[in-house]
Amino acid sequence: MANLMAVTTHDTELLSLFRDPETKEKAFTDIIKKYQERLYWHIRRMVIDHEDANDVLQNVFIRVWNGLENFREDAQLYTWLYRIATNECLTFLEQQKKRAAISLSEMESGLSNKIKADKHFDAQKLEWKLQLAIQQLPEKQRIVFSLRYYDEMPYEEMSRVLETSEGALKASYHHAVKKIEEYILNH
Amino acid sequence: MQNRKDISNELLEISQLIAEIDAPKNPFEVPSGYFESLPDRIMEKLKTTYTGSVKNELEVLSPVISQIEKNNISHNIPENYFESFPEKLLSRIKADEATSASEELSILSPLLSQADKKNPFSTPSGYFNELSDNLVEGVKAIEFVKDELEQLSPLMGGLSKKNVYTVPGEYFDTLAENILQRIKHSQEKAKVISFRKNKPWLKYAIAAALTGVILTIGFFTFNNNKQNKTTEDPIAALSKVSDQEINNYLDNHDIPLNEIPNNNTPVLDFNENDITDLLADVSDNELEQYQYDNDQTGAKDLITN
Repeated sequence: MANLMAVTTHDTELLSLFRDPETKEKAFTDIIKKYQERLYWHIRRMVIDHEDANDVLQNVFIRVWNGLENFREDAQLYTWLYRIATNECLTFLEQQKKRAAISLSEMESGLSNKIKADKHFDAQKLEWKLQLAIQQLPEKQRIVFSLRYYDEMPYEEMSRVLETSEGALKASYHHAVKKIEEYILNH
Repeated sequence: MQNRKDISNELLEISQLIAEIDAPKNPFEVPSGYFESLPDRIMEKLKTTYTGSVKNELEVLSPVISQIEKNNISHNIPENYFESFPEKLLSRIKADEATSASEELSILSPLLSQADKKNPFSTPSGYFNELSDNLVEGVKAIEFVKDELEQLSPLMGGLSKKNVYTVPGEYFDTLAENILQRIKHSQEKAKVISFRKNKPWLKYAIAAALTGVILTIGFFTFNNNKQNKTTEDPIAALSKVSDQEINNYLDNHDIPLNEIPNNNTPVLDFNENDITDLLADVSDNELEQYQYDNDQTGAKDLITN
């Protein structure tokens, strides 16, 4: 908890430094360094491909640069960043779908194919099956599962990130876990 | 009991209409087994939320998944990706905000912006200086040739480059459309007859083959018919064969009587009526003549009509 407080204070500090033109760039760089990995993996789990993840990550931080000044500190910076990252992911996937003019189900199998194309892919290993199982979920459920399972995000936090009620998120996560388990047991 | 009575009376005082409604108070239905399973369902929900830890939650929800090692194994990232990311992003943002091309370049690539923008390609020395003079000389040469041509051959010089050929009035107006139609037509044609197009001789081959088949069938059919006719009317055929020929045949060919299977020989069961019928159209004279010709001893028995 203390750690969380320190983090929060640090964020506030970063925000004020960002608002000062003299220190804007330095603060921005610090923010990136602080959150890039977490955000990167969150994005990468959705888009699979590194290059795509890199594109989305850059878009996220450009939005941060443009919008941070107006950021109202009633929410955690972390929450705000995750929200932007999630929206950018969904936008990206939507664009890909439109560009390829394919259905959503084909999109999902496309991401599964990207997983299978990984040079280390091993269909027999549980951890790879998990990746494929995750792709079977609808987008929103994938995000919920990813945030809870990998980032261990509290439901309260998640409800602010995804602007969905906690109850709905819990139900979504439980459902996702069951579906993933079913997939793993049957493959 | 008393309480209920009081409440009923109270209701009656407020509204007689409602007090007198004779219907079950709760019209709603509940799924079967709902209440029986409710405690268990609530306990399960409590378990997953009460523990407060994501790990425990997962253990309860799915022991299978909680066993899986949580690695981001699927994803290899370039070396120093995260180390260099902030710097790269910042320079991209600055470049977007640059107000001039040179400023943009200095942000994106200090190296390039420092590089001399000298052109590495070389031109022949004095190229540009002499260029205008060369051009003028060239134009003069062209004019000279033209003049010469006019002088040497007034006739040719006088020939205008007018097109002597004539073209139907609306030719060019309708040309494009005509070409398109021809293309479409040939494509359709090609679709239909592309097979024949490649092998023009094929249609003749097919025709010849079909003709051959028809003729062959016809031949056999005809022959069969002929044979049928022969078998249908052996008596008529035999009557054409002279007696002499028959005698010759019988003399030359020994018909082995013992081969005739007597058992199987159909026995004609003649009676007097049958013979009468059979010989009904034979006149007595003919019968007598027959008897005389053949001198058969059994002729006495011959029944005359």
